[in-house]
Amino acid sequence: MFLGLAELRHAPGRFVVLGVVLGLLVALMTALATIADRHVTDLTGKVATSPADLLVLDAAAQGALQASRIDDEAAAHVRQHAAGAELAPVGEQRMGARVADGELLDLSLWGLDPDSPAAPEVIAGRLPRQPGEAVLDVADRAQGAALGERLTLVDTGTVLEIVGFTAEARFGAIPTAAVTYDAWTEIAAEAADADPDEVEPTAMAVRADGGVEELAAALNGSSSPVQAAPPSSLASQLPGVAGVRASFGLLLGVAWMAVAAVAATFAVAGVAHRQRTIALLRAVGAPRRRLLAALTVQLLVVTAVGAVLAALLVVLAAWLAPADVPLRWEPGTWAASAAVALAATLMASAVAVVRLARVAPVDALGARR
Amino acid sequence: MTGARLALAELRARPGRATLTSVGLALVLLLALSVTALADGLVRGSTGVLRALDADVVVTDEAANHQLLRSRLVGAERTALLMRPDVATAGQIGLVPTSASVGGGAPERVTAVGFSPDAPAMPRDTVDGRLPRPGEPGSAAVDVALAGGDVVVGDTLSLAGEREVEVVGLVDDASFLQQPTVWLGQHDWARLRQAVQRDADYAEQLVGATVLQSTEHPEAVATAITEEHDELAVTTREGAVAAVPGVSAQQVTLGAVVAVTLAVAVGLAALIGVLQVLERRALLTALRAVGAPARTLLASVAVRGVLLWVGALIVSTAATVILATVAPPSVPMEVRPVIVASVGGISLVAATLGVTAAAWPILSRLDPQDAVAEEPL
Repeated sequence: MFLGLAELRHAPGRFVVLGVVLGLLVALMTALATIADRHVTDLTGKVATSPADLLVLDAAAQGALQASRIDDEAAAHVRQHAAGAELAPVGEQRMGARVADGELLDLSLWGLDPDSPAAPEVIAGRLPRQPGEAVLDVADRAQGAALGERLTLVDTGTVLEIVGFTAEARFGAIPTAAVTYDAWTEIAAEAADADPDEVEPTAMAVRADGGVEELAAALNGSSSPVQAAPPSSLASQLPGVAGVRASFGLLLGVAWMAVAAVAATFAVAGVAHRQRTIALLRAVGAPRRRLLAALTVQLLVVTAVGAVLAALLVVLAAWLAPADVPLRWEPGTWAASAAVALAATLMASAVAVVRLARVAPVDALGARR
Repeated sequence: MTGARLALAELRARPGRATLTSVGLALVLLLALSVTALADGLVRGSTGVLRALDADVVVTDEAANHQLLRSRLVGAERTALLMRPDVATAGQIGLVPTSASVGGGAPERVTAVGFSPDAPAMPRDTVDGRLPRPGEPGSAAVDVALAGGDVVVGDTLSLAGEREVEVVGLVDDASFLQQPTVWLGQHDWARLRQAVQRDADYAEQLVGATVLQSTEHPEAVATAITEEHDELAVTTREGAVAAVPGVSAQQVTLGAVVAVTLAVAVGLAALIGVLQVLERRALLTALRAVGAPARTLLASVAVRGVLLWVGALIVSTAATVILATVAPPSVPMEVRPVIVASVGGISLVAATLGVTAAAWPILSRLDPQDAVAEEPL
């Protein structure tokens, strides 16, 4: 161990370069994992955080909220199979909006009744109870949202007062607001130039007293006009989610292999560079185990230094990143990435161990080169 | 040239030593190529519908803020735009998210695009068959990506589980928000919209965005129309592409990831440069002692690094193509030659600089006298 640390102190240059490379790779892994998590939360949070036991969509919408409408037939089907359960309509529509006099934003506007199974949880302020009130997600503070501030829906000219904030409840990775369902119906009707009675809910929220799986199975029976699923399950089926998870998972896998390959390259080159020194140490009686430990310690120390560097880089990047880049400093994700990098480094050191094990004491005499 | 010969001779003499280094380089390049291909695929998969059009200016209502899906401009409103001298021709498109199944198969999410029979609103090319003719009911042109690429002309398509249309043509690279598109004439589109969005009446004209072919610079035309029409949001096709939900955020985010990956590649190149010199310090010192200039030795190190890089690029390109082929359909990776050329070119230049910058300080300090001294341990 001391041998390994002594060499680190004696010739720090190449260890510094390796530490920087590993640090960048760990930072990359941390950023990829964080971005993937945050992006999925931004895409699906409003659905995933729904307190309902089940959300019911139009079967033909194939899990896409924007394509879903619960018509009379579907609503009757839900009422028939969910007798005794608490039901509430849910509305979702995309609109143009301005916070105060800020720039024009794309907004996902939800209609959710405050005392229903669909009611969102607020972390500040309160739920909307009047037609002119709305809650926004706390992430939208970056757009200037604050309690008491105005939210203007450009499509209809409706002015809403922000009375509360939700957390991790965005939808479609855009600013997300919720009003009462009746207020949403009025707004949706005005935007579509239709009568409020013609506006159908996008989905229905169901709260059951147990037997959720059985209820879902009953609602999803053959030729059912609806698709019922728990919010978390529905969130994972929303458009784009599977792609984001699979894509970033793929990239993380490649990054992990890159860490292992870089560490292995360095370790093998290190053994080749010091072959005669290692052979001499073997010739004067240094056990092979001790030399292996020195090599492993060097790799672990450099990876640990790289991980610390990665933490600094991610903190800096999160601080500098624009608001629409979902990068945050999340210690858990960084720790997981650093642990994975350490594991990759240990695996990589096995390649060098094989090479080191082949170094014979006689090599010290230069007989084999 | 001596430096290059030295590098080639060494690679021929000890090919095994370069293998592991090449694997490390190839994996970092694989990462850079995968991220770039993914970023490209994500953007192209979200914006194909706009790129497929032969339009250079896109007009939405002001509230829609360039978003095709939210725009509620009615077809008749384009007449005023057609009167303008800077507009050659205009068309209308309307988008409705829905589902489609081919031949009774499992339904999948699609975007139905209603289009007017005007040049800017029609896809430029069909890869098979034709587009629905004006007034022809029950026909559609579909994106080849539908049904995993198994759709052919003559298939029957069920839209939203209730309206059936016959596939009369196939279009390529025309998806929207990672979903295939189905191109319909006005009547079929209006019927479908009425069925899917039951609060919407049958639309006598397409409701959505107006697309223009301009006679002047598109940006100037967009600015001029915006100044004259407060109720409209007008931009170039490129502007509309950037306004598609998620596109700009994806470009910024994945662009930063690509930049970090390239920085890793440069760092790795520097590491390889240092290791190459340290590993062969005794030999390089001997070469200095017999008169080889430090620059020749640097050239040999740089050429060796470049050759390793080129080898790694070939391997990583093949690996990226394989990865894109075996990846699940939800991973929108597209390995286009321009991506390989740009990532390969940028990384090669950066890597050459990294190798030489890292190796030169050590090479320039090599003392020929050390060659006759006892070999250091």
